Amino acid sequence: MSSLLEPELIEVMEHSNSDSEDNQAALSAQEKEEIDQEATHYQQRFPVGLEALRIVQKHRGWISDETIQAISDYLDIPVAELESVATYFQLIFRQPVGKEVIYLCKSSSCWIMGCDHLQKTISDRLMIKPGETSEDGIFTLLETPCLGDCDKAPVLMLGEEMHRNLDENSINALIDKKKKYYADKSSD
Amino acid sequence: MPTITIDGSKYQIDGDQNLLTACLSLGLNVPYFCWHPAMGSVGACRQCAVIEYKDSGDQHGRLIMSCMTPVKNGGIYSVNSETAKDFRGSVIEDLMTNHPHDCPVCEEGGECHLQDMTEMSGHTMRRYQGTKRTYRNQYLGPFINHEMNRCITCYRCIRFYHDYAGGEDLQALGRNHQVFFGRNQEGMLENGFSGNLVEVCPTGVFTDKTFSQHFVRKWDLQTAPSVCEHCAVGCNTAPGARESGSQQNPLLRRVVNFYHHDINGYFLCDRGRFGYEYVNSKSRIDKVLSAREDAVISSTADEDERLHKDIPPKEAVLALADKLAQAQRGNHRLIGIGSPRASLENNFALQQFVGCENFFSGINKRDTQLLQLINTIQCDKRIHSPTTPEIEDADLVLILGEDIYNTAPRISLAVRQAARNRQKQQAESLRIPLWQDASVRQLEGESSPIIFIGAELNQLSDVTSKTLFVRPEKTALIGEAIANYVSSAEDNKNRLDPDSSQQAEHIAQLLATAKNPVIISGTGSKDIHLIHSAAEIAISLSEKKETAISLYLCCGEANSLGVTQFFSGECGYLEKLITELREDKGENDKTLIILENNLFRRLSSEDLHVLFASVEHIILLDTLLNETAKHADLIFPVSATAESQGTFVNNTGLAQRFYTVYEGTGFIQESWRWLSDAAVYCKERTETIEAISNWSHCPDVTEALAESVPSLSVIKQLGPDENFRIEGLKVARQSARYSGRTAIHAEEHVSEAPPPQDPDAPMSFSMEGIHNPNRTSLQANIWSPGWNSNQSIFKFQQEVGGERRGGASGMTIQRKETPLSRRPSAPNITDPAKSASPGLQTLPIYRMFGSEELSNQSMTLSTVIDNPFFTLNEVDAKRADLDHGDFVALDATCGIFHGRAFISGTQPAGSIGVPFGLPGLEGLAAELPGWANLLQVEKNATTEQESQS
Amino acid sequence: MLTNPLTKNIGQDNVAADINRYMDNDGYRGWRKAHSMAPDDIIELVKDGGLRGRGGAGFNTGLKWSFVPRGEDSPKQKYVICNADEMEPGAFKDRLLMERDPHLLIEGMAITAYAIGASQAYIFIRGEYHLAASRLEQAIVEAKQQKMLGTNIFDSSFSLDIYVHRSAGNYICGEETALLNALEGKRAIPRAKPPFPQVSGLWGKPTVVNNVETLCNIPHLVNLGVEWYKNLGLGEDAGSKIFGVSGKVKNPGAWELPMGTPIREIIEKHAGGMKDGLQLKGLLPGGGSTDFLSTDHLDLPMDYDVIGKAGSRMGTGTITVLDDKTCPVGLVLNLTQFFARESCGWCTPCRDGLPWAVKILERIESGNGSTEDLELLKEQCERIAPGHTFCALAPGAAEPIQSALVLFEQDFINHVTMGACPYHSISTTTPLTKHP
Ligand SMILES: Cc1cc2nc3c(=O)[nH]c(=O)nc-3n(C[C@H](O)[C@H](O)[C@H](O)COP(=O)(O)O)c2cc1C
Ligand code: SF4
Ligand code: FES
Repeated sequence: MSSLLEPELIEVMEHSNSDSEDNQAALSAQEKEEIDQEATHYQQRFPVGLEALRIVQKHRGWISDETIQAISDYLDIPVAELESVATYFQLIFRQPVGKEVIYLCKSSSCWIMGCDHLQKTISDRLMIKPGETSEDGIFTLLETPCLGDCDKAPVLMLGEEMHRNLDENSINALIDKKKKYYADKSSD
Repeated sequence: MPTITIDGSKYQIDGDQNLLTACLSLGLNVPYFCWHPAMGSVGACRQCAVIEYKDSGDQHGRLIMSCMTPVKNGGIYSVNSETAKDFRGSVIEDLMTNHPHDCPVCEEGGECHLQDMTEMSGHTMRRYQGTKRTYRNQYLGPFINHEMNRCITCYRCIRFYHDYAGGEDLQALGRNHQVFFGRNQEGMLENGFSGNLVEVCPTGVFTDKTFSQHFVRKWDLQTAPSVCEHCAVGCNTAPGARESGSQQNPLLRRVVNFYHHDINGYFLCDRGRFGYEYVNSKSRIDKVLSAREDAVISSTADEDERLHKDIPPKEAVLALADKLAQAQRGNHRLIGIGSPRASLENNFALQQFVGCENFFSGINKRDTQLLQLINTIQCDKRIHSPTTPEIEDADLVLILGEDIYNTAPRISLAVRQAARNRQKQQAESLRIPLWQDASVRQLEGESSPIIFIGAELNQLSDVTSKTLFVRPEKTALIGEAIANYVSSAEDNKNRLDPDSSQQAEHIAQLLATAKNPVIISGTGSKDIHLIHSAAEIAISLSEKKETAISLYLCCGEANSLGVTQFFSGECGYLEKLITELREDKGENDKTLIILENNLFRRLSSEDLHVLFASVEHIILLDTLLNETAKHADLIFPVSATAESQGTFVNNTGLAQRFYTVYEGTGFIQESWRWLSDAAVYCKERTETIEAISNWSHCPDVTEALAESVPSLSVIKQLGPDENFRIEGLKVARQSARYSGRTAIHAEEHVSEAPPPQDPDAPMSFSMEGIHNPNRTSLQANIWSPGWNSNQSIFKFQQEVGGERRGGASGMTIQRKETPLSRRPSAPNITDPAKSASPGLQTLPIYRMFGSEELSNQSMTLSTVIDNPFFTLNEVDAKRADLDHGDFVALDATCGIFHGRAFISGTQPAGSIGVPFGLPGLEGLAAELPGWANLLQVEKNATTEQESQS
Repeated sequence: MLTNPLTKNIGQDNVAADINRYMDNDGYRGWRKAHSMAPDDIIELVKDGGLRGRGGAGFNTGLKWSFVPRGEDSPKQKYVICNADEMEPGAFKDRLLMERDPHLLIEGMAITAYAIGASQAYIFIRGEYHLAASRLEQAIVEAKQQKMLGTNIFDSSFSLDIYVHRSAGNYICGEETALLNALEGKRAIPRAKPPFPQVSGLWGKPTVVNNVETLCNIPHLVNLGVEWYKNLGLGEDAGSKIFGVSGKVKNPGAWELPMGTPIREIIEKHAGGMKDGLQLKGLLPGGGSTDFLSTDHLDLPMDYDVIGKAGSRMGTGTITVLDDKTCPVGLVLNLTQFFARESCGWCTPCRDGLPWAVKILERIESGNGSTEDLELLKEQCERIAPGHTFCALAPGAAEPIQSALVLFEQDFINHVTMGACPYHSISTTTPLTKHP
């Protein structure tokens, strides 16, 4: 939770407009299929908007202006209504994120167990503040509310995997592992 | 009626209300933000907290939100308890943590509900030491300014714009203390009721940009009750004017809503709100103009167009008086053309001036037929013309051929509310009070049946349960079939295709089961059979249900139905005059006096040519320079609605008086005053001329008219006459704090000029006088002590949401009851392919911005009017090899018109939608519906070419 | 006698009990039995059992169900929703139940749906619980294969579909009416009550929302009966519960224990007491939105009403301990930041009051606070008292602040008088590895 003391310029409208190559506007066949599948769970058309945002984000990492427009077109939901929901829920990203999102738990138990220190470790190592993406585009650091693993604090979630009982060493090891993975991948 | 105790006093109150509404109705000052009288409660702001006690023994009580608390019989409450006051103060303190201290430069200042509530709640010292949140604002189009930093997050804007008016492009974004109300991208707000945001927002987030261009504080505005002239619904307005120091010219600065229980309630449409600027426009006539007879070198004017120079008014009046005298002597003919946009008084004055036999309505034959039919229908006692609240209560709405969002916008907002009636019923069955807005809206389920049959429907498609997009002829046939199904008559059903017939039967069944259905139609489609079939549905339903059925008929212009009262039966129309003139090869010279009318919107160019060629002199009385003015020999500058007093008759037959807000500049005066002036100087005296020359107050004309036209006799009761006084005082048009009376012209002189006297109404053009809405219905400065914002309107009402104190403005005109006779059945549908006329049928379609004559010349509004376009459906487009956006020429009998082709999914096959009255296409207006061909000019012309066109 | 109905299938290894193992261990017996009963009788049974909601408010579950309209003219469509949004700081019990024994929850939901006559049910699970969500989805597939779910269950006319709805975040989604809006795909703003969800919930239809743990209690309660269930509890309250401890104890974790287990026993016996060198200073009995209790309260049994009388709330029953080397002001600041950020933005005192409280706490914690700030903070807490705000989030946020201001008053004063945080050097900045 970044300090509320900082002067806050709220730019709900400000998000990167550019789509990266793997974030084309039109929905893929698979995205559509998953959305349609999810739609069968609800009587109404409306809930599918939020579901679609979540599903498409799973594929694209984040929701660009073009993407939100594409979802709006596909589901015939006004784009402003999707925007209203997208900006409300914290797990919908309207800004690009790195390949790996670090969700660092900042809530009470993790705080007692020293998550501030972990955050400093990550920030120093990757040169990013919470909400930022590392220069190599691999990591985005986000602070997250209690991850429900308080007895194993401090914890973080990397992508979809939980990492528990962390300390400086285990965090560094984790970052090394991911860095190596992407280095190997790009040299392939 | 439950009895409750508030701070020790007992009150009897309406039991269906919440406590806040009850308190306000009792005149108690309870602060609030998120509650709105028309939108109910959501309990968000927590400003309306009061204390509720369990019983008389309860010492402490419990803090509750009055807006969320149903009143219960025997309930004991306290508004003034310290706990409640402290809490209310703390809410303001919280709200103010982020609110900028920019009141001096904020356009809401002086009429800000937040300022009022801050005062009322007693927060003065700032204890918050943190930084404030800062938002980036958005461009929301030319009408509305956005300043989000002033937001107190009461959610009223989106509750109005999205929930109430159906706008889809303004939303709450973000969360926690960073909620942002805006669009997903910058751009003009799409909903035609966006202007209400200015009034609904309790702070200065949404302000009127057109007002900003000539801003003064509310307390410096001079105002009077007025009626909107931009359509025939008759919404009540409170225009505000003030002179500007340097030019000394009074300017009309803005229009705001003036609550009328049966018509506009709390809301206006954007045409009505922003259309006022025509009054200040460059084309405004403020001098007497005369055609130049000297040769003009190098003129761009067309052959028969005149160039004008200004002349002394006296000269013109004498010239007119001379024509009048000649006419009396029998060697000259005066012909008067009235207008459906001019007041009853002005029309009457002209009728008297030229004599009944020489007076024409200024409406063409087709429209006359439509209006006469509507007039007759409304005289049938089986038909009831519903009020806005009655439409909102309808459990079924059937709209035949009228795009009400564009022809009677405020009515479409009412229909939108009617769509929620099933939801409301569901709420009632769950015992959710209707004022508990969010809880009612969360109930999903079918919306009430809203059925549309016609050529084009805008903005309501999200609430309609059924839409049939067909040409007017077919709408009429389906309507007729519905009527037949309702009355189980056999005839005509088989003239329809089986599918439409089945639809008709289904609709008839729905109508038969509806408790209070409302049928809506009007002149929009310009189809007489369509209006007839609407009436027949209502009548057959009425016979069946043995009660009058609500039928709302839209008449087009502000006084269409009023002018219709001057004529009985189909007469007085313009073509009749033309036929007369064609036949009359008489030796007498003729003078045509045109009253506030642009004939180019009424007649074909051919007819116009005959008309202008058959008369020797043309005299025009009008507000704006237009096409007709180019042909006039003499032009008198006349007052606009806000500058004059007069009477309009709206769609439902309600006669309403509007009052002079301020005196127009230059030589502007009411048309009737010019005519009366001429009568004064007329050398020949007759009884009529004597009478006309003796008119010196508007009520003189009103009374004479009331004597002369029986159906209009009620209008003399409309308001107190100019001699009325309250304790010897007039009603003040200026607020009690009107400032700078002497300073405004200080660079020239500091002495105060005497205010003009109003000869027409018991109102002063100054701050001296009565300021109390309890004592007069004429106060339009919506203000009450402690309530500087428009929220004070509840102090003008008998109870929250009730009638205005001092009575509603307006009286229904008294027409003779006559049963409607059965009409000949609707003709069969013409097949465009087999039609004698070539091409496709052109149908009038309407736009909120662009179809109405006066507002089209408003500076800001004119910037959002579409360029000429024609709509057609995909199949027809394909056949003509046209793509969306292609530049085309419409080849009609009256000429060739250019524009873009737009492909519409709903345009009925075989037809072209032509925007009625749109600048550039005005000449087509008289010929709709008609026949025309669309020819391609250029494939998908680029924007570059657009700017050239 | 079975004493650990909630966790009997949960072993040491991190795997979920599959349906075979689950059924071998008496699984779905409660569902079979319930299905042979009249719905009203099930509701009565649950009511009599005295099961109180484990989501925090502790409302009698059977009583809640009984508010759902029944009979011919009640709406056909009704819904059961499992509240699996677990986002309360310091709460970590629902994750455990869903990841390790998903069928128990499904069985509980099936019985609930049958009791109130719902044919559709949703598990509203927070977006971060990927493993739990996929295990639940897997379990639903298995249950369908075994015809425990689906159409015409046990060849009756009763059908039930359960869907897993993954949420997209925000603590307020756990508030049951905000949850309904979130599930409807809208902004998760709480709704006004009345109408209660049981009458007008999801899409305006009668809806029961229950916590994961609450629902997990149902199968055995139905199967083994009221007597057995009541006897599980040590004191006033019936049944067993998952209690947990986090913070600087020797053995943090979660255990199923009888209702009414004393706090001391949970912390000292099960969690192994404080880490060496640390003293217990206070505790949050059931998550971040409960009032601090002091060491004086250690012998209180964990019963709803007992904890309530002591000035706090049972909440989720997962205890957060505060040691004497951790700054209470810092902890309160951390919690308040959480609540301020998670405010839905609907009502004024919460939306604008909590960020203000954060700024005051930041000033105090950084040594820039004044005694007036302490007063102001107290005032802020009073403003967001229950009933003053639209929902219970803000009153919950006030709980740790107001209790800390009383219990740790000296710490607050020390911050002000020292102009610095007295703990700063010994607590948060100390590297973890060198921790005592
Ligand atoms: C701000 C807030 C957050 C809540 N979060 C949760 C939650 O994450 N999980 C939960 O089960 N109940 C939560 N609740 C309680 C629910 O509103 C509701 O009382 C509960 O789901 C009812 O289930 P139960 O009767 O089984 O306890 C929350 C309440 C509030 C006010
Ligand atoms: S207390 Fe108010 S602002 Fe806070 S979460 Fe509840 S409704 Fe939203
Ligand atoms: S007016 Fe009652 S809470 Fe806003």
